[in-house]
Amino acid sequence: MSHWQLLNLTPDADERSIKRAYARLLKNHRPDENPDVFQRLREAYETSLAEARWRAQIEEEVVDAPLAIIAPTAEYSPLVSPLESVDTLITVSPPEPSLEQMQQWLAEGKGRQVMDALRHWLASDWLLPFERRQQFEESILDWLESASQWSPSFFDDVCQAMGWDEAQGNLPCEYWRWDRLIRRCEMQVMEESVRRDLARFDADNIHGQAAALLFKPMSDSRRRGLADYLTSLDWQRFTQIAQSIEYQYPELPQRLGLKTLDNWRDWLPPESFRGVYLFLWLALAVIVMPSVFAETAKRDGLAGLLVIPLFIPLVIWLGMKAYQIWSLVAVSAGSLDVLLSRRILPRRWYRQGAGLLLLRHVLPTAVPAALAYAWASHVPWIRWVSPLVVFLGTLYFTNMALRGGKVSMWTAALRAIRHKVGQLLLRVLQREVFVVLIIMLVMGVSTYSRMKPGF
Amino acid sequence: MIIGIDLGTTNSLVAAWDGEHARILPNALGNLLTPSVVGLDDHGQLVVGDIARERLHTHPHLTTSLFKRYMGSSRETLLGARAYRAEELSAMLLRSLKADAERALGEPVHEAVISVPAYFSDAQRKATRIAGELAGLKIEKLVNEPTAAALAYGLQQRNEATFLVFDLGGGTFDVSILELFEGVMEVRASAGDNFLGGEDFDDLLVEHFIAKIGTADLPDTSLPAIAQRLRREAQRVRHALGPAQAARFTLREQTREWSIELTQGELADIVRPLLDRLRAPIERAMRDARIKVADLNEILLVGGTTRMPLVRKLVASLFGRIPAMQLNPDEVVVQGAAIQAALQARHASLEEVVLTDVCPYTLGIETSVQQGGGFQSGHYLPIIERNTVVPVSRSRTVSTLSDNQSVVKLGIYQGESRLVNNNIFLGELEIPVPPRKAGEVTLDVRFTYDNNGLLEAQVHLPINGDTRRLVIENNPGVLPAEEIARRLVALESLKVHPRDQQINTLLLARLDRLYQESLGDGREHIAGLANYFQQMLDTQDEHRIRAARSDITQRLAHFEREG
Repeated sequence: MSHWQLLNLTPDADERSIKRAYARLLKNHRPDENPDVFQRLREAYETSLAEARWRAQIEEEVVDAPLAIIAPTAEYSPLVSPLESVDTLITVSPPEPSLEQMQQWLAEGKGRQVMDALRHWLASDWLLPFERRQQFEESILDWLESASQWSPSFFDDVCQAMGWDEAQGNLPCEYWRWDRLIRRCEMQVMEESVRRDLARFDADNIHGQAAALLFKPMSDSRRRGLADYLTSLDWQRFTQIAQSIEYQYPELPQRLGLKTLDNWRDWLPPESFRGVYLFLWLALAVIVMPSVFAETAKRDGLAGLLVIPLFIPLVIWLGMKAYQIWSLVAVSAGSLDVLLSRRILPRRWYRQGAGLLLLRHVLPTAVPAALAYAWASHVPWIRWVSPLVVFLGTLYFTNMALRGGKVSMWTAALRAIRHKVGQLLLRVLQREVFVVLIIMLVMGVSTYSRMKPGF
Repeated sequence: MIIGIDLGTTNSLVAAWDGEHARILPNALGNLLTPSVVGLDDHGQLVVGDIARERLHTHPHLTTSLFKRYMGSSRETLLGARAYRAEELSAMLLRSLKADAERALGEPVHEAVISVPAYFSDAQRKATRIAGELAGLKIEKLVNEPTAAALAYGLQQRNEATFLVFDLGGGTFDVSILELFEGVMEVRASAGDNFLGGEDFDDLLVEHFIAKIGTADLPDTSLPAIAQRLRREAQRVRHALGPAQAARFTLREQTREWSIELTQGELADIVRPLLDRLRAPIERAMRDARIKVADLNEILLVGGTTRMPLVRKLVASLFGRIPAMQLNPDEVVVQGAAIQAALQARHASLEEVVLTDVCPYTLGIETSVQQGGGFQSGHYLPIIERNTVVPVSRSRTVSTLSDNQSVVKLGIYQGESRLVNNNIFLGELEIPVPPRKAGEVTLDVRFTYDNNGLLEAQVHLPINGDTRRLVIENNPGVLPAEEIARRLVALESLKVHPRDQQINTLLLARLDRLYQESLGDGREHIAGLANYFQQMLDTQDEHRIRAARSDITQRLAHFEREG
């Protein structure tokens, strides 16, 4: 049932007939007796009224379209006639300085003069009548919207003088207009703080590193060096600035006259290397399995069973510890690393220093590859393939981890599947423990079945 | 019979619909206005109205006024040995008004419609209801004061009209914009200030007086007796400055006297900060109603303080026209309340009028919004926007914030700020939720705001069908039910000053006050009159008492005029 039907009207009804229909129905559905019905009636009434008014407005605009341009607000329309009878109340002329003068000052950025003039105007009796005051507020709003520069503190002063206060619900205009002004203030605050950060960085190279990393043009090796020593707090600030530029204030870099790092997400430190661990474990397990089975067929089964869940993780854990020590060395040799990596590595791995680095990532990967070569020694055809797979796979997953916040195609696809398939299965899969348990079970069963004929 | 009561900050009235008009019912002294002052007399009996008002000066520890300002708060006032909450003090006043109505109507009264400022909050409205309950009245409805005024006004004028009610009373300021069409009285918007009224003007005058004379010279002005006297004098001066261009502000204490001269212009400068505060609520109401000044057919002045020429002048300047003054600003609200009472009873003589009102402020809940990487709490999510027509029921859906969250706490607030700590906390609702991932559990939060301005919050969990309702019990401003029952018993045991003696008691109280306020010869004169009247009372001869009373009343009127 449409709102028109509820009121027993056709959609072309005018305001008057809507009101009449509403009044008639209201007498049968009083607000205190039948709140639910009343609420439906009320909603139908409001919707219909809004539609009728909107239509009337459009018709009006069509009629006098050439006159639609309203004259600038500096001039005031004379007040309506009843004022004459109380003329003793308003025997004042508009205060000085003129509105044009104030607007010019604002355009020239003379905030102090504008504020003084504004206070002078507000103190005068000239602005007592609501109509004049409304026109005055409207002009001020227009100026604020059109003027290219004013500071948030100036805006605060204006709000205070004019009595605009969001907490009290005293807004001079529709919310979206107000929100635009507030947003502009917030952007300026942001701009100021970024400027301050950059200035401090120029001064001492210690403070404001997050802003510098995001905005300063610098060589790859310098940037890498800077990023390596950022604290988690710095990264938080870095993300905050970058995100607000991306989502809220895309015009900010232009105002600063600087360019944002376009692959800033790439620079974020990796959340975890879970992918790498998991891959290494699986890959090594697969490589080791045939030799373990070959061994257990001859000797004790239990040792073979323990190799995969215990021995391999231990090796990986030790490897990672060793890698941490290595990475300290690699980080200190950062400039050299960047220099080499840029020459040697493909561009989509290197990514201006944010991606894989030769000394830091590629070289250590040789270790698990060598391990794979050693463990796969007795099966001839795996012997050559497995180190390559481990090497490339590890690099692939390291690269994924380094991409940090950036959503890779893989993850996107995975998310889409997860959405489609339902979440239960994947939730199980997500937990490494479950994966381990399942694999152990499978292996246990297969080992047992292989051992059985021997007994 | 349902009566209408205007429970004001300074004065209260009671009225009933007699089939044709809203008739204001006189009190025991024959006056239509009963001062909103209550107290205990020397025998521990309850005195209300004019007598209590006279005793404010002579017995400040046994008498109290302006308690409407503390409605909805837990503040207690000491009267003699016991502390009373604003609800109880209001209940004493309501009991007296009820007795007056019963006497005038000749039938027992059990139900009433009470008017409250449109901008009264949830807690203040609840307190008013409780006050009615404590006075033995069933409160059929709370009607907003400007709406009541508009009802009284609208019944006289049948045309379609849009008008603005400017209600400046003793303690509160309300603005409402109403539209009248086809027998529908529709409130378009309400705004106001709960702490702005005639009493604040008096406060400023007293402050001015103290600043002018200097505290070094004056007796301690924080003493209740002196403070009351200053306040009364301020009120007298303010009233006098209507017709007269200048008036004297005088304080007499024992053998000394301090006095300053005040002119209309000075008064205007002194109260300027208050007059400036009248502006914002009007602007807001007009903006919310989407109305321009030119669309208003009439400006209606309501409330005693609008008698001040300064206020009238300001209103005329603000709107560029002379406001309507056909109605008595003191009486129009209670008339409206009586009409509302008759409508409530579906009185046959009233033509079908339907009234729709609004919720004057935004009601919502606290939420968190995502900012950068984390969440920031303390943000306000409005559920019912201000100036929505009531009764109304709106719901919004929110979801959990963290994984495996076991409980959701919903803070319920009233106000306009986008941050909740600038708004008024109304209550909290806790609901256990099944542990799921963040955002997977959704909650439908429904607010229902009824015709009387009372709010009910309800949370529904679609995931398991659980539903919780909020009863705002932990709000310090609202009395719990058992406490109401206890206080009801205590109040009922309080003896009321005998009604038939009230007129004599009033005269004695007035003589007492004048004795304290005057000096030298005047003082002796008053003492003589008091002695004479006491002698006459002792004879217990009704004729002689009446003769003495009228004689003394005349002399006192003369005395007070001459100063």
